[in-house]
Parts: sequence; C-alpha cells; structure tokens
Amino acid sequence: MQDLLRVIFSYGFLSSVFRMATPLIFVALAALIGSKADVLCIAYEGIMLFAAFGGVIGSAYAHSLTVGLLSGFLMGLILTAIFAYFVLYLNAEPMIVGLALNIFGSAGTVFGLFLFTGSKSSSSTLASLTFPAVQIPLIKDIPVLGDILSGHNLLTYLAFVAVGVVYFLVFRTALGLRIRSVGEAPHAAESLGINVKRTKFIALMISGLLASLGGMFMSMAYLPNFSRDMISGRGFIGIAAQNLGGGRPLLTMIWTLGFGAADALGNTAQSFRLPSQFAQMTPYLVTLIGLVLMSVSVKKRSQKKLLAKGEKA
Amino acid sequence: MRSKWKTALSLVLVLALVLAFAGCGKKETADQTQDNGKALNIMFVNQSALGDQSIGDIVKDAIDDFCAKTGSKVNVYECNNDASKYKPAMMDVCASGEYDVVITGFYNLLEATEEAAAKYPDQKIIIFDALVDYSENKNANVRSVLAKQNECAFLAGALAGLMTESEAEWANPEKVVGFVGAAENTAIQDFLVGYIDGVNYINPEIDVLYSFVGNWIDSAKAKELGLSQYQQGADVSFAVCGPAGLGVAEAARESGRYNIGVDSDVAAQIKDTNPETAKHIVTSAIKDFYNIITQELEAIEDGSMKWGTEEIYDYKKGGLNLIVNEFFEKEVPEDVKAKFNEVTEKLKAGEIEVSSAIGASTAEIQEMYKKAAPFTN
Repeated sequence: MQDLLRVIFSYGFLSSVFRMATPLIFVALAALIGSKADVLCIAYEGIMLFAAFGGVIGSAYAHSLTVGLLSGFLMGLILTAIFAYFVLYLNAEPMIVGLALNIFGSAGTVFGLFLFTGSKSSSSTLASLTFPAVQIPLIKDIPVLGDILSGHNLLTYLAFVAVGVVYFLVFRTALGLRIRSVGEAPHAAESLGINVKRTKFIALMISGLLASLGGMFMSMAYLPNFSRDMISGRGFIGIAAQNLGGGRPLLTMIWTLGFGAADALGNTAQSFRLPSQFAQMTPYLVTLIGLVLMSVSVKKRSQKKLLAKGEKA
Repeated sequence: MRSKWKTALSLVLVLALVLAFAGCGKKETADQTQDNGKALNIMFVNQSALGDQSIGDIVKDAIDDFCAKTGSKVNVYECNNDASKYKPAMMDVCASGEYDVVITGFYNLLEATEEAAAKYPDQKIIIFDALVDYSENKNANVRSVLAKQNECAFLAGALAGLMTESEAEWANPEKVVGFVGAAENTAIQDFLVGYIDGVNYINPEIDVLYSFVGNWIDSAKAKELGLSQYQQGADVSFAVCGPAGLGVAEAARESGRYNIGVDSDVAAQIKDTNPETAKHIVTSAIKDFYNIITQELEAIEDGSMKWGTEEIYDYKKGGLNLIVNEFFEKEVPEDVKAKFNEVTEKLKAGEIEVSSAIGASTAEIQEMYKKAAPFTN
C-alpha cells in the first residue's frame, strides 16, 4: 500500500494523468461546442480515427509536421462535414449517422492503412512525424513545479489552452452567442435572422477541429504511429466528461483529468496485484459516480429554485 | 418531380443490390483437377484480418508456401475479430463440403470449431493454438496443434531475469521485471505463468509486475502500463498483447529500458522507420507456427496425419524460439548470452518443467501468479 501511494504521489503519475487526459480534453471540448449548438454528435470516435490516420499519412509522405497537421485536420473535417450534412441538411437521426460514421471511421482507416502500408494493424512501416515535447524555459528549472509543468507534449499544453479558448469563444464572442442561441431556442434565433443551419454547421466544424487534435495526439504524440482502432472508446469518455461538466469548459476539463487520474490509478494498481478487470472498469465506475453526483446536485439546485419561488419541493 | 427521382434512385439501388448478390452467388469455379491426387483445397478461417502481422499471417505464409509447392489452393475467411462471425463462418465453410481441410485457430474459435466438427463429422479440421475436447471420442475429425507458449515465455522470462541482474546498458539495480498481457485468457495466462517460471529459474527474488490491457489494440494503454512498470523499477517488460505491444516498446524507448516483443520479429518490423525504438526491443518470443503448419500439411499430403489427436510442439520439436537478431547481439552482454544458452540447452534436453495454465483451474492459476513476487506472500 505504501508503495502504491509513493507511486501515486510521484511526478511520473501526474504526467501520466496529463498524458491520458489530453485526448479527452480535446474531444470533451468538441462535444461541448456540439452540445451548445444542440447537436448530439457521437461520431467523435470516427473523426478522431480519421484525423489520427490523416496526420500520420500526411507527415510520413510530406516529411513535414505542418502538412501532417493539415491533412489530419482535413480528414477529421471531412468526416465532420459528412455528419453535419446528413444531420442538418438531410434531417437524418444524429445517433444513427454517428454510429455509422464510427463504424466507417474504424473500417475506413484500416482500409486506408492497407492501401498505404499493406498492413492492417499499424503504420509502423511509415516514418511519420510526432509533435515535440516542450521544455518551458525558466519554469523547468524551478524544483517541484518544473517537473510537474514542463516537458509535456506540445498538444498537451494546447489542450489546456483550448479550454480557455473554447470558454472565450462560447461565452464571450458573437459567434458563441449565436451558437448558444441556435442551441437553446432555434426558432427565436431564426426570427432574429440567424441562419440556424449554417451556425450549427460552423459549430460542428469547430468541434471537428478540436476532436481532430485529440485524434492526432494519439498517433503523433502519444504513440509515433497509427494502429487500428487506436482511439478505443476515448471519444465516448470525452462525451461523458462533457455531460458531467454540464457544458462548462473548466468543469469539463476537471472531469477529463478525473478520468485520466482514474485510468492512471487503474494502470498503476494492476502492478500491485489488483485484478486487471477492476482496473479496466475504473473509467466507467467514475462515470457512474459522476452521474450520481451530478444528478444529486441538479436536484438540489432545482429544489432550491422551487423554494426560492415559495413553492414546496 | 422529386419523388420520381427518389423512385429512380431506389430502383438503381435495388438493381445494384441484385447484381451484387448475383456476383456473390457466382462461385469461383474451384479447380478440381487434382492431377497428382495430392493437391488440397484448403480453407483458412482467420480470427483477425490478414496483414495484421500476427500469427494468422504466419499461418497464411506457411499455407501459401505449401500451396506453391504442391499446387494446392487456399481460400481465406477473415473474421476481423468479430466474435459473432466465428460460428457462422465455421458452420458455412464446413457445410459447403468443398474443402479437404479447414484450418483455424485460437481459443476464441474453440467453441465454433467443436460445434462445426460435431455437426460435420466428415470435415477435417486443423485448429492451431487451441486444444479441443477429445474425451468420449469427441472431435475425431479435428487435429489440435499447439506451441508451448509457456516454454516460449519461459525463455523470455529467463532472459529478462538475466538482464535485470546484469550490467547491461539500460538495466537498473532493482530486481524487477514486467509483463504486459492483452486480456486474461488461457493463452495469455499460459504466457504469464511460463514467464514467471523463467524469471524464478534465474532468481526467485526477482519481482514480476504484470498488467493487462484488456484488448489487443489499445497501444496507448499498453504504453501507459509499460511506463508504469518501468517507473516501478522494471528494466525489461515482455509485451504479449499483439499489435498493442508497440506501445510497450515505445514506453521502453522513453524510459530507456528493454522490451521483449511477441508473435513476430517486432524489431525487424520497425527498424527502418523507427530505429530508436527498435534498439530497445532486445528480442521477440515466437511461437513458430510456420514450421508447425508446414509439418501438419505435409502430414496430410503423405497420409500420415492422425485426425482426432493433438500435438503440442515444444522447444525441442521446433515449436518456438526467441529471435536472435542484431539488437539481441548488441544489447545482451556476453555473460548473459552464455548463461542464456545454458538455459536453452537445458530446456531443449527436457530438464526443465514449465508451469502451464492450460487445463489448470482458476485457483491453481492464482497460486502460480503468487510466485511472481517474493514479498507479497
């Protein structure tokens, strides 16, 4: 037990939490923007896979990280655009389209992988590029803080920056206001001359960009290559974190860190003879506990509101 | 106007479907001219997909080379790891009666194979890497061939044990080694208990950390598990989790430690594109199904095949080995090589009994696991 605590309170554990939370933050923010526009998108799993694959192919053939980044974005956005077109303009059921695109993302990337590499499991035969780790000058020399804050991957920092950016975008810009208004009251927004479909489309594309970054983190930072189905449910965990965060960027980020910590704890605990099945269960357990906590707090808040109105709860 | 278009479109779609089905119905006219009487019509029901660099690919290579030599033919059914396809696939290919032999593999297809074998007793089936039930004359048409993965893992464990005690470049003073498995199924458990035996054979004081990814694909999770083990003092970790194992190799590179791969020569696979990581993969533990399947097919060809039996290929019979490549040569110190050779000689001579999870009860396996750590019991 002491050993376990020693590991948990080490820098290695913290950076493992950040590493595991990074893709979750991106996709949770993506889901947040989607939910603000009131579009239920579950296609993030597929979008992330496409972006992860696109980034690897682009960077491997162009020998340029920028081209990799752009092709990753392009692939992610193609899938997002398909989703948006079907849902917004063809009025298809978002759940079904999302499911279909997730399956398409999984199978389509394996197909692409086979075309480019002849392998159906991983792109290990392609020399693709990775995003660099960043040593922050000055801060890295501060004893404890330096170890915690410095030396992470570029995209990990970008994920935390994105939390602020998304907050600003949603709550402090005209576009954000429009996105929220088409989400909350599309008819009212329409009556004010806002193009509801176009606004939702734009919101989804921004959300696709964020999810693409999450996907590229998996294949161009976490690991140096693409392997089939490498997102492994992270898209869904991100959606869960967004729901638990109740549409608030900071709270959403805290939940993704919670998932990261639960995962890291499960991984570490396995070496201490905890059953592996228990460790694999932790993210779902955290989701359940989170849902209970959230519904309790929502209930309390609504009770308070009712009391404030002078009605009996 | 619009509805007309829709009608037209649906008609076109229906037509396309009909054509597609018609295409399916048209069987490739299998070449039945078995001129020398020895050519076989082989069906390979692969659990995963071809080209995934796993044992399925190795088996396919063996079948292809056999076909080239004898003029036999092979068809492949890929199940893409979809458990709902295993049974229909086996039933369909056995029901067709077209094939002289159906080859399939792994414990995941065990049930499907047994059911198909019971329903089509005339269909000859070879199942690799899994053992069907031969009690009460069951499965008389099935041949089970296995490689002793526990011996394979024993060698990996012995090497890991020797490395952690050695002065090798990336070894640390702590006597700890690691194991990252895919999911806790019988085959992986067999690997683990063999690995623990191998490590203990060198020194029972060495601690073995073991963790499981939960699947064969989440390489990021595998990397995380590897990092966690290296952080806890492991200097060698044996990754038995298929394609996800590349994650552990990445963890080894990042932590400056050693990794042992599985199934195929992992280092050779990535040495051109990712030489830095390849350096850390000191060897790979291989179940030599190329050799095994080739021998089995040749037995069918010369008529010496005994259906309804099992064959467990051990180290002596060439069922497994540890890859010796340039990375092994470079990273393993000379004294470790010498000691390791002693171990392989003893294993070959049959002087070492390695524990096995096959046929063992859960409680027995838990007992074997307990030998992993000298301190916790």
